[in-house]
Amino acid sequence: MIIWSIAKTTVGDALRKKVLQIFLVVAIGLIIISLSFSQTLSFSTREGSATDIMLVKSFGLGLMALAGWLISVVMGVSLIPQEIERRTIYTILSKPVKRYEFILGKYLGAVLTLAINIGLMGIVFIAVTVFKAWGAETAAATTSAGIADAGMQKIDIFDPNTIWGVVMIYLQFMVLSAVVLFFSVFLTPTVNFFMGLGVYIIGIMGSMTQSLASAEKANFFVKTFYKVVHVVVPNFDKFQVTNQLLHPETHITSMAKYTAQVGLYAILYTLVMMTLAVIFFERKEV
Amino acid sequence: MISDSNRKLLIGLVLVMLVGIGIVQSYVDPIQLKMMPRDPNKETRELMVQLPGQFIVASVTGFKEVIAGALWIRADTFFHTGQYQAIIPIVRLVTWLDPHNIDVYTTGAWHLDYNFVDYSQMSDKRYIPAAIALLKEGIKNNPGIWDLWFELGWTHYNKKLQDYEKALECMEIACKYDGVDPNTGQRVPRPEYVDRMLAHQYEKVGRFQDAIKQWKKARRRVEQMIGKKKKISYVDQSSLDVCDRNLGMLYLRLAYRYGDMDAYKKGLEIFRRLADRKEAPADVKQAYENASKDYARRLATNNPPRDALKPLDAGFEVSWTKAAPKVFIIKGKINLCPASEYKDLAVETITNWYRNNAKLPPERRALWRDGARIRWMLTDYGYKMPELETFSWKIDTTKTVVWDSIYVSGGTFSERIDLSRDTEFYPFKADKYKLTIWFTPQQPDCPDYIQDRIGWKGEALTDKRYLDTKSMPGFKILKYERILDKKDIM
Amino acid sequence: MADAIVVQDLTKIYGGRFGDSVVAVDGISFQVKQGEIFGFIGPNGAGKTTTIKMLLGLLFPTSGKAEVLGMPAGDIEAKRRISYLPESPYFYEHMTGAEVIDFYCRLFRMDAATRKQKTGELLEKVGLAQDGNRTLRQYSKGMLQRIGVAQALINDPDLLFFDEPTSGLDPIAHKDIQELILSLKKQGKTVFLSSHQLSDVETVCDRVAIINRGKLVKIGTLDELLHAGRTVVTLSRPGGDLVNQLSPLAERVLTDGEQVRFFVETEENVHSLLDAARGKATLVSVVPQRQTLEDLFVEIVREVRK
Repeated sequence: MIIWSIAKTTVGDALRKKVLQIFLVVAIGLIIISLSFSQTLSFSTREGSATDIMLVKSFGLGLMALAGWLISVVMGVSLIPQEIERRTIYTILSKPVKRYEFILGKYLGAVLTLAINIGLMGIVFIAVTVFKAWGAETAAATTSAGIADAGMQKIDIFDPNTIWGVVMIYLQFMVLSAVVLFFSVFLTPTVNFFMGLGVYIIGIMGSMTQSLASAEKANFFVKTFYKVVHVVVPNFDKFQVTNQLLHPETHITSMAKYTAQVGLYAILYTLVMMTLAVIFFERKEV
Repeated sequence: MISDSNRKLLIGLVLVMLVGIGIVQSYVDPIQLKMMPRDPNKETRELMVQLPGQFIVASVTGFKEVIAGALWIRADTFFHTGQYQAIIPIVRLVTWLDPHNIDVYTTGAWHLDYNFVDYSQMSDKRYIPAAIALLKEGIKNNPGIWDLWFELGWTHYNKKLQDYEKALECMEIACKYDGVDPNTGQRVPRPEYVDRMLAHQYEKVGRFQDAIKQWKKARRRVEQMIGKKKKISYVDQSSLDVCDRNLGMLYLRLAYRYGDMDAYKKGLEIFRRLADRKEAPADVKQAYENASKDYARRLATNNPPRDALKPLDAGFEVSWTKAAPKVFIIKGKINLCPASEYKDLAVETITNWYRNNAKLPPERRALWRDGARIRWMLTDYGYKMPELETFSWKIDTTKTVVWDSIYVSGGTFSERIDLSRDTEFYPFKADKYKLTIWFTPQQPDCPDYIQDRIGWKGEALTDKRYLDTKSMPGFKILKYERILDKKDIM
Repeated sequence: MADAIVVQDLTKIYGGRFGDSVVAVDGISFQVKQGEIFGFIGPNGAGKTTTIKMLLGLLFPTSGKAEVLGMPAGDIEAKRRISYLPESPYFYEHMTGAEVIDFYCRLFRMDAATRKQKTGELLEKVGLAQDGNRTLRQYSKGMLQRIGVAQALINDPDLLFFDEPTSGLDPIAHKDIQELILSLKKQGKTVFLSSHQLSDVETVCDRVAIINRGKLVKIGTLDELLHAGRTVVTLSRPGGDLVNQLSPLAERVLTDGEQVRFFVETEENVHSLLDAARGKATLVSVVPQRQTLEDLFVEIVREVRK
């Protein structure tokens, strides 16, 4: 009950932050505007619409990822420091609230806020892709250009892969939020912002640390070092599946299986971060 | 506050979870490696440097496919304005940003093969290795898709290089895979025509039994696709009829050209099915009736038709003369199927071509010797088409490689070939050149009705000077070769 | 009955690893009896808030012992029976007054019915019954302070920590807080009051501790701490020699223009001084004086500064 109460107040507080509201509104606005990016809008032949629909999907996913990064970092860096600065933490921790309850409550609030934001963006994104596909199919089926498309499949109006895309983005920033929250226990917001950025950039290049860890010519200690880095730094590139979502049958045999594995990775990593945050926060002087 | 023992427990838990993370990574990492785009080669890296910084940032931050899509739309604009040179670097960048966009590989390869043309609309053959390398890269990145294999085989090896054996290999692989819907990325069955094209390709290289098997396979596949009505809306009875007619004609041609009466019977069986249908056109019914009677008569008199086994003197004459520096004239004669002979060919029973053609007014009447093509090729002496390991559109501009075909009309052919206007295309830097002029009995150089007389493999062909049985084992072709000095051309 | 608060050699040192260390609290020791109102005063930076935070478990002592209601400071069970009103409390602005009280009730794991009842009671008690549905963003400073008091009373605590509870309040609100503290005492509660408002401390506290630069300087009842029977003898134009002669009789000598004030502790010294000054200076006044807490405070701080 305590963790949930703290989470609720965190959500209420975060959703009212002007800067996060702006990120959300701008992201949703741009996703809607992406309908107009293609040369042919939604009225095209089935073949021509392929690039248009792909553009809308890839742009929407990229934008949600960018917005998700901004939201999770901007929100996360101030989660604990703001409570200390505003002294709200005093009236809470002076009550019979265990420290781990407080920090877990803050994290739960952060990921709920993230879920709301990404959920809203996701709904708009899926609606936009459905509208785009519907427009292309309706036009292609009724115009004379449809005759030339006789050999093409009908365009599926709803692509379930778009949901996986949104889920992956959420999982990615759930992990980043945990990292940033952990750092917020002992770093100032400014330092934490750049720390979060740095960890994200290294995490995006996870395949590089993986290659270095398995480089044949490197000596044992170098390989071990990079293996440790590869395990310890979150591999954010694992969550980047836009290409596979746009061309799902070209590589991965099962998106569901991959998502489950990556989801497990995300949960484990989050647990590690939160456990470390609990340990450090126990000795945090406020 | 947590006790020391609990703290140690938590730290231990963290270590255990880190080990768990390592284990999960060992499952996920290999899958992830497959997703990564190939390392860009030197040319791609140079191109990347030229892109504005924001494109690079965008491509790193998860907007790769957006950039790829935007660039590809731009490439389409270049195509419509004829700026083909601009398209290829875009193709390279797009395939690096999004290695699973099939359309880019196929369109890019097509541009390379067909759109760099000279003054007289002949394409620059030096780009063909790049087209093939691009498609092979596409196949490497997308191995389980029929489209790219088919493109490589049909459009490039078959149509461009006339390397029918290699084309066949690619098309056989294409027929193992299904495709991907470009709009949703979902798996869709490959179109039924792919399997039919493979059957035609078997015929082209003279593997008749394989062709027969393939026609039957294609037909079964169409039946299955008709069964799945919801998914595939464009496959119906007419698709089955196409398979039946082609298989039927193949059987009948085996009979008419080589005397295979068993094949005659099988072909008739198929045409009977087609003729028996209520909606069958009158000419099909008539054709079946005629062929049945012919079959019965031949069986009774033990007189199987063997039209393609009767020797025919092609009387191939060819000359090459220089009209001006880098301008030359190729002309000659060839006798492939006189009209007078055609009316007596066994295949006339079913096609009625001669009879129908004879009814036409003179100005519309085709001469049966028309429709064949004579091929010619001029290259630097010793030139071998390179096989590129990786895609690169940089060509060796010192090489001269050109080939084309000349249409035969009325048994003669003549063409003035002007290579003087495009010095970039035809640099003529070498001292010696090889000129080859030839005719093969394979499609498309040799249409059906000519093959009806000379056979799929040119079995009936004879010629005093130019008959060649070594260049294409199993086939009889007509071939003229000559070594030219630079002064002969310039 | 066990003491409400026991502090023994409590020390808090900040920093020290790479730079200068700061001794915020330097080996202080005191007890607070149950049921008393204990004043804890000192100048800014003296270590008051640091001491309170250590008692609440928000900071961890470098050394020494701190117990609250017989349990180690920061113990969860202890926190069920204590409460804290910080200086200028801040709450989540987006919440209404009622929601804030409800939130803090949840931290005590109260069920819905109890929370509802408590919220109504407390809002009534602090005079915010009409404003319970307004967001805190719309509250004045005084209203926020009252919400702070309300959250401090949720669990009917045995021990309350008040840190500058009247800071920034108008006189009426000020009075209300004083009355509240006195009513808590009547209920047998213990109040630990840290304040710069020395008049408040003098009015309500039973005992007072004065802390300066991390050290406990004085502790005791007001009667024990404040000088009783001090007399101030004021002379006009005494000669320089006379002042030197009379100084040993006084605790303190203050010169104010032509007048010199002698602060004399005992009656005997008063008479000796008057006798010595007769005829040598003009006597302005002889005033018996009781020391105020403020006087003591200033005296102590200035002494330490010397």
